[in-house]
Parts: sequence; C-alpha cells; structure tokens
Amino acid sequence: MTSIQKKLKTIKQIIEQTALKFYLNDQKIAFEKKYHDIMEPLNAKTIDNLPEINF
Amino acid sequence: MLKELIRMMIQEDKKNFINKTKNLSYYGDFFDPLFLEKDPESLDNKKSAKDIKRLWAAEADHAFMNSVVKIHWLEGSVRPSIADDIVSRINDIKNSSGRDEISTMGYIEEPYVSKWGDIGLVLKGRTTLAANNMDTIYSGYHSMVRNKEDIRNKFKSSGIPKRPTRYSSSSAEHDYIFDRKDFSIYAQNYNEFILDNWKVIGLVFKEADINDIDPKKT
Repeated sequence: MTSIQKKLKTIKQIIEQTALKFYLNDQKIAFEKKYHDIMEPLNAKTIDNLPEINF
Repeated sequence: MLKELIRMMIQEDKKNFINKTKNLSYYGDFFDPLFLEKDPESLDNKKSAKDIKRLWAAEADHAFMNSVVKIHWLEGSVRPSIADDIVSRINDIKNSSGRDEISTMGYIEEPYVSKWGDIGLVLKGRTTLAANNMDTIYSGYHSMVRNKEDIRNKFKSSGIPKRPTRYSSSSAEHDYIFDRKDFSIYAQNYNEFILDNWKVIGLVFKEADINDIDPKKT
C-alpha cells in the first residue's frame, strides 16, 4: 500500500470511528478517482455538498 | 443614510467597550489562566477578566459570530500510527458536555487551514470572546491548570471558563473582534474565538496535508 493510500485509509478510519461529517479542502486535488474509490463507500460528504456539514 | 447609521452604530459598540474598559489593564500569569492564586493582584485580575468578557458579550454582534466557521485544531498529522489516538481524542471531545470553554480559530472564507494541526473539529456554540491575535487574549490551556480534580469540582455546573490572562485597551482596540468589520482575513491563521456551550459538528482535514497526495505516485 502506498503512503497516499495509507493516508486516505487513516482519514477513512477517523471518519468511520467518529461518525462525523467531514470537509476536505480538496478543490485542487487531481486524484479524484483514487480518492472516490476509497471514500464513496462511506457516502462521504465533500466540498461539493458542504452545506450538509451545517456550518 | 441607513448604511451610514448602521456603520456608526457598529463603531459605537466597540467604542462603548473601549470606554468601559479603559481603566482596566493587567498582565496575568499564563500558567494560572483561571486566576486561582489567592493574592490580591490575581483576584483583581480575575475580576477584570470577567468584566471584559461580560462587556464584550454585551457589545459583540452575535449574529456575525454565529456565521464564522470555528475550528478547534488537533496537533498531529494524518498518519496510520496516530489514528487510534486521534480517534480517541476526537470522541472524548465529541462526547464531552461542551460546557468547558474551548479555543477555536475563526474563518469566514476558505481555505480552512492552520499551523496548529492537520485535523480540525468544526464546532458550533456561543462565542464569548474573539480577537484577531490570539496573543492579545492569551487564554492559556486547560492542561496547565493545576489540581485538576479540584478545579473540575469547582466548575462542575458551569464548566471550566477561559479568560484573557492579559488586557490593555489599546491592544483590544486593535485586535478584539466585535463584528465583520473588525475581522481580518489575514489573521485567520492566528485569531482566537472562545466558545461556550459548544458541540462538534464535523471534521476538517487540512488542505496542505491532502495536497501531499500526488496522483503520479499512486
């Protein structure tokens, strides 16, 4: 597993085990496919639906 | 005309605060952020610190304070070795009563970043003091408070407060935030918003950390 995948898995673990909505400053990220492969199963909330975090 | 009137009223709030606190000036002990020492100077400072927060609350634009995104940053970066510890710390904070006042950074625009950590907790609550420069408030850390069990009991019903350990009206005039006009975008990395009756509503992962992820290396 690459360091990038480890990092994403860590983020995933934190989100799953805290059951909190989350926000990534990720507009400039160019690795969407890789990112969504990991995050989509979580039905994760990203910047595109930021209002759901209810800032 | 209406805009001018509103502008004058807003300026009046800060002016009122500065006028009412112009005779207050102290430089407390950073290692005694609750002013628990019983010497006369500490007791005087404690009274001043409480007055400052009360007067600030009376003059601040709380609708603006509510609109600010407030983030409590956790030290540490996103890596597997600290995941369990981070999860534990987040859940401890998430499950706490929210009555102990807590320091946050305030943002009115992206990016939500900080040099204090890579993972932030987004909080909602009542702002009890705000300044563009955290060193103007210098509220200290709860971990610095000695005899913690005693203190926990002392503040059992109200929660542990955070107070300015130093004050001068000139610093306050320069740095204290009462409304949007006082808020400096350039200080988003260095401001402080103290919150009471808060709850955790989300997580933020810092942009710089996420940007470390280079698709070419995957």
